[in-house]
Amino acid sequence: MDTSGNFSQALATFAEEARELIAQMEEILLRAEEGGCRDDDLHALFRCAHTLKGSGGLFGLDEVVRFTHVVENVLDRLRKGEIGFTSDLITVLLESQDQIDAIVHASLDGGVGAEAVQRSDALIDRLGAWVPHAHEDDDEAAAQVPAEQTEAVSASGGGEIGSEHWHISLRFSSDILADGMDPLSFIHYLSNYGEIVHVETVADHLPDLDAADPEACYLGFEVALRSDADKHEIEGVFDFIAERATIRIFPPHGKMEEFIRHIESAPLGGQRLGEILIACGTLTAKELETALNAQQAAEESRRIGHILVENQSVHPAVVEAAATRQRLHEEKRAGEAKSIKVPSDRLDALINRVGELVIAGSGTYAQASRAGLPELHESASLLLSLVEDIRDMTLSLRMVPIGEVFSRFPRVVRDVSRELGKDIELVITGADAELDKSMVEKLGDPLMHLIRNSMDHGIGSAEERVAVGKPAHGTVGLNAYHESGTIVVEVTDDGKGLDPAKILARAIDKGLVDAGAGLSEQEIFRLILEPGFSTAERITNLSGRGVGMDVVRANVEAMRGTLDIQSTLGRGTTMRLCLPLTLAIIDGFHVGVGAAHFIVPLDMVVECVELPEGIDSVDYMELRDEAMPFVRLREVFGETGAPQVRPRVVVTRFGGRRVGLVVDRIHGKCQTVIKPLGPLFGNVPCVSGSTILGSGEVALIIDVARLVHDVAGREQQHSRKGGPVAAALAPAAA
Amino acid sequence: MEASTDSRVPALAAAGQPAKPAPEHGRTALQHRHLYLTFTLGNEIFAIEILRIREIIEYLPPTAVPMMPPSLRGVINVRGGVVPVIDLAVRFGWTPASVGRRTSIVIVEIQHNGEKHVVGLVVDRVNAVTEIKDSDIDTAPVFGARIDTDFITGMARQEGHFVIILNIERTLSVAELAAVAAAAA
Amino acid sequence: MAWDIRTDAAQKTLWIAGELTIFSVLDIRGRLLEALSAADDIEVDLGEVTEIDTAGLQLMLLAKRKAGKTVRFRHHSDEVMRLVDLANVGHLLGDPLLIKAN
Repeated sequence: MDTSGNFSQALATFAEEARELIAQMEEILLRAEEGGCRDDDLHALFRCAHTLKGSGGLFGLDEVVRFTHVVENVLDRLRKGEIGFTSDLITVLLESQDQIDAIVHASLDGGVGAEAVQRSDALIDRLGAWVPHAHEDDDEAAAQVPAEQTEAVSASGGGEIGSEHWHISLRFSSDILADGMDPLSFIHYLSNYGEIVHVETVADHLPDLDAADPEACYLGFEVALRSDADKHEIEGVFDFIAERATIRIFPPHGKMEEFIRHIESAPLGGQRLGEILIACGTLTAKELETALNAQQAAEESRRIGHILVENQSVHPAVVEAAATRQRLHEEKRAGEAKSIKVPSDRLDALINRVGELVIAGSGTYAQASRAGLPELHESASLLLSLVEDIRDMTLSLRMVPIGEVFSRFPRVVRDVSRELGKDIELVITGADAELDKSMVEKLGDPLMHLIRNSMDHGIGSAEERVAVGKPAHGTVGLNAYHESGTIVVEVTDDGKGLDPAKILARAIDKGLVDAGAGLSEQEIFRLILEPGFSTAERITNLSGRGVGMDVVRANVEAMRGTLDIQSTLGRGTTMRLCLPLTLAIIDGFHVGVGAAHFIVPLDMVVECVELPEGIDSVDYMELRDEAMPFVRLREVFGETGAPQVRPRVVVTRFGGRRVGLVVDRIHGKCQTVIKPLGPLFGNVPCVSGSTILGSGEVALIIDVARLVHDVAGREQQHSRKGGPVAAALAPAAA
Repeated sequence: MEASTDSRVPALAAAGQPAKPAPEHGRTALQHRHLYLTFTLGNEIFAIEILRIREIIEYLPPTAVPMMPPSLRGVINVRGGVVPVIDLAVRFGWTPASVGRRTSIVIVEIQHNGEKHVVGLVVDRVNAVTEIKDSDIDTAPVFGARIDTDFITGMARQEGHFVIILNIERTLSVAELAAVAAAAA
Repeated sequence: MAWDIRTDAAQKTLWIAGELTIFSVLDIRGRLLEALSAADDIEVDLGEVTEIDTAGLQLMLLAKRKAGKTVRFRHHSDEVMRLVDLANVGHLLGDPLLIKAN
């Protein structure tokens, strides 16, 4: 009955869900603060806390359960309209939500420390202001149970049955075992909630051994449980198999009609199931008889709800409540159906396979072209373009809205503006622009810093702002949009703007530029991105861990992005991040050296020229009246294949330097799916990865930055000897 | 023509399909016979447990990676993945394997830091899939093997000659190969 | 994770050792059918079963459903007993069970 493998997987699912629930809570609370909170938000808020508590309980995360229970009580009162939102309550709830986040993670990472427990206690005390008897919490929780039960089952009315235990009926989809779930281990887990009075294994659907698939599940279980737990807690136990199982839970003293329906819907036939219910002690023989008689009566096919209302036995409001509940549940399910969670490694496997398909497709296309049959050529061409469409669609599966990363900033801006004593509003636009999941993860930190920077340095105090005729409250904008295959993310503020004169003076002071350098305004703004420019700044709580703008720039460049600054003194500043949509694909420039193929990232390529004749002895050439150094890739990579009569030079630019790469052939632009070379090649210089060409051959992607850096370095080392630069770059092992 | 370098490779030759990777839960632990792929390199016959083998492909010249040691021949495209190719002969301290009509690349799966890695091995020819009983394997290497005993799990007698059973984790230690590569770079 | 199945020469008795779980049920079912094709009445010894799950228990129940054949289980290991008790299938199996005094 070891479920440790499933367990850690389930735990990972829980962590993921917890993160989403906590984010959802935060989003609603922030909306509530602006007064934009609807009734269904209140229910959603309650459900978040409730689910967190339930799942936490399933994994035995006691501190999560203890703390969330109190939060849940407050949220329950909110949704019932017993209390209303106040600024104080929102603040406490936001802190509570942070606390839930903290203890969930601490629990998953090994344990909640005493300090965290103290923080929980302090928050529970504060939450007590909204719960009349926080210390009588358990009583209230207990009192709540019958109320919920009534709500859940009263719509069906009818007589109570005598049994004092819960009855749980479990049926499974046949693939549940093969999917790694072990139903009996979940039943075993129930004993944590009370006493398992009786289990009846329903083996009626077992086929003959010859016909059976032993990995399919044919069994069902009927369980009698004596427990003080509430229905949600019991449901919570089965959360992880809920999708693959039909679970019916009947409370103690449940209503007869519930069992009638259960019996009616049983594929076994009512008689057999009735016997099981008697075996479980859930029904007495007499009760069963009544139920079976009622079953006959029910065939008049009038809806029970109607009958009951007609008979005045149930108040219409109760039916309404049940109907609403049902509708909410259905809406939630519909929402869930709109997206499917897929493990990212499965997605990556698919993307890989589709990549192969593209390669195979272009191979076929090349063959078909050579065959000289127009029809074949045409159909191969159609096939290839379809396959490429599929590749693009597959890649788009990894795309997520940038809103995922934006969503954390309303909270940041709220907290920071309080700390700064500035009134700052965050305006988010373009949250639905999509980019690769891996990019989203890396974008958080740089954006956080840019936003904090704007709030800290860009936007002045209310007095300063009013003095220059601006509204007292500042605005920070976060905007995203697509532009020619890239995503642009802008952080704008309506603050003081950058003062070029001040920046220049400071840069000269720091020795970053010469006093005489005639820099454009753009170039001056870029100085704030230089290492060493911002280090002397006061390291405040707000600008983070004393990270300078240079680190932001480095992060952005590591994602092959650029960071632009536009600013008007007195009007505000815009920081513009321009990023590729994905890290997995680049536009490449395909060149050949000897028999080998290489890819130069296209954004590094400026132009291509012919190598002038007669300069075999030097490693620079004249290009538009300037001397440009170049590297003979043939020598760098030790290629020995037949050289080209007239080599080409690919002019690349990196960090303001121009460097030529001498190659034999130019094949042109291509979309390049980057494949890492793996641990064996961790230290290959000048190569950043590899890719598979349409022909199926592997090409190496040249790390131009490393290459240029090496050339510069070696040039200095060897200039005294006057030997060719490239020779120094030749393989050491050759 | 994948995997058909020798007609006696029935288990692998079927339609060029990759051999199934080792299942997570094998029945091997308590049984006492294992299947091996045998191949020739130099004058020796080697064996690797079949569960470690993904597929066998015809030799095609790998794309050389600059500044790598001779034991790393380069990289090839195996079903859309970029796979390093190792010259086992050089790894054993012999002269590099020369490429002949039957030269093949055996694609094996190895574990490193809990991750699976796929590596290609250049071999002179693939011989057969054969069953070797555990009891037929001498753990102490017999004299005369011209390779580092660290790389050997044992030796078995098969049809009148010795088969060297490779310790694949040791032979293809990612850490060690990476260190060699780093030194060369 | 592993399992092993042994039979005596007459294929009248099967010994299952290790896992009787979702991982091994396919294999074990095959061996059961093999044995049942040779004999009408076999015994399966569970003394060395160290792990059992719902799939394993289900296979025990399935083994009882082979028309015209009889499969008896014996030497239920503690692990097997625990699950047989939890699922309350002792009467469905109908094999003598050793009930240990606590």
